Amino acid sequence: MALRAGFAAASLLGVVTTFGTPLWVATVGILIALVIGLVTLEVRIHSAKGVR
Amino acid sequence: MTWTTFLLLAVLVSLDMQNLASRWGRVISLGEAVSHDYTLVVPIFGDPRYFRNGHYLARNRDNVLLAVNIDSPKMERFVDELREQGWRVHASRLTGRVSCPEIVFDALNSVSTEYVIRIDGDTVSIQDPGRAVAAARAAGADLCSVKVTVSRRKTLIEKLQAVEYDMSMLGRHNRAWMTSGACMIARTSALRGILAAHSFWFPGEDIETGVIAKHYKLSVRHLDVRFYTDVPETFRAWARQRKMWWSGSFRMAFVNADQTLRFPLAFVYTACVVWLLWIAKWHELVDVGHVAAILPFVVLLYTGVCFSSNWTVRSRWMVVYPYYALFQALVMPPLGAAYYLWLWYRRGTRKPPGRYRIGFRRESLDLARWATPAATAGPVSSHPSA
Repeated sequence: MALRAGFAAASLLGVVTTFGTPLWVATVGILIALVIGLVTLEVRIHSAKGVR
Repeated sequence: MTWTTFLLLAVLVSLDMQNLASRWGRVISLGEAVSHDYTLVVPIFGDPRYFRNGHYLARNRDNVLLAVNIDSPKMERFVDELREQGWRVHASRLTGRVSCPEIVFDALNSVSTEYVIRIDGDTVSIQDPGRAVAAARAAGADLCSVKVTVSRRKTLIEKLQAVEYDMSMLGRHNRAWMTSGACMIARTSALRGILAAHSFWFPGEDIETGVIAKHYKLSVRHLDVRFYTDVPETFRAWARQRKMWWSGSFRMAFVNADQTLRFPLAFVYTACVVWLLWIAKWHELVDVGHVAAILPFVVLLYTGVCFSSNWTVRSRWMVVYPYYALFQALVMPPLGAAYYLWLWYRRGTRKPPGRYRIGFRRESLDLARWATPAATAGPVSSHPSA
């Protein structure tokens, strides 16, 4: 839902519509950091004697 | 233009943040009281392998009724085995494309308790179902949705479904009528009356139960008791299940739009936002450069929305949930619609199948009429099924 909202709003407002802008880079950086954080946490949890 | 845009953004994001209102829902909490006046009805058809919660049900064996449809020698032998093992079995001999509500309706002939818990063969609870029934009874509820959540969370697709289920169940605080087929609790007489008006059409049959209950002005509530159900373990199995679910969504949004309109928020979300904006969404995705530029912003926004509006059921897997949600929203709706149309084609009728059998004007249900088992005898075979 918010995906659609985001598409509509970002398009209309002209926000973040170009590669390489600082805001775009920061956003992608945050997303990558979140996924890396999740993977790291999973690895740690699984290595801790299989406790979820 | 800017104000219009902000308004659009606010409306759309608000729709996705509805779960913030879950704290104000009229939810029935579990108490300490326990009732034994209930029957766990477990519909089983097609194959004995769908009966997987025997170990759980054995704890409440005296309250269990296995509703098995015999349509093959294999199922006939299965019923014999179950009886030898001491289970109480209601054997149905329904033909055609059988659905859960049809079997449950037939099985209610063998139920004499005040309440009934319709539960799937792969669903269990940790909390005593007797406490749930006592709470429902104390609140005077006729039909209760419950919290259905994921029992096994090992594979990635299971973890993502767990997030999805937990978030959906928060939504039930304010939309108790969205009953789940995995488990629902009902006053037996009310369920008899509801199922007598059920279409028995399989996709979306569970929510139809809640819609009919609201149509009859029954007390439909959400009960804060947790049941755990199996979910597809693989992506392929997930896609098969979701094709069916989205077919049910299509049915609810368009085939029964006149009824869904009674629930304006659900209608706007399902028919307009999910289905009609699907075209707009793909239109956006055609331009790869545009997508690459916009998508990170959108995913980050949605991640924030997920966490903030579902804080009570927060999970670290919400970090990847937006990708799952985007994939599902883009790919599954047309497959669900195509599946519905295929079922319609196979049925060979001009009238679209799966129309609710209730009228537009709400009615009252005479519960006294449905108090005895004999009242359900007869109508089953006359109901259309796919």
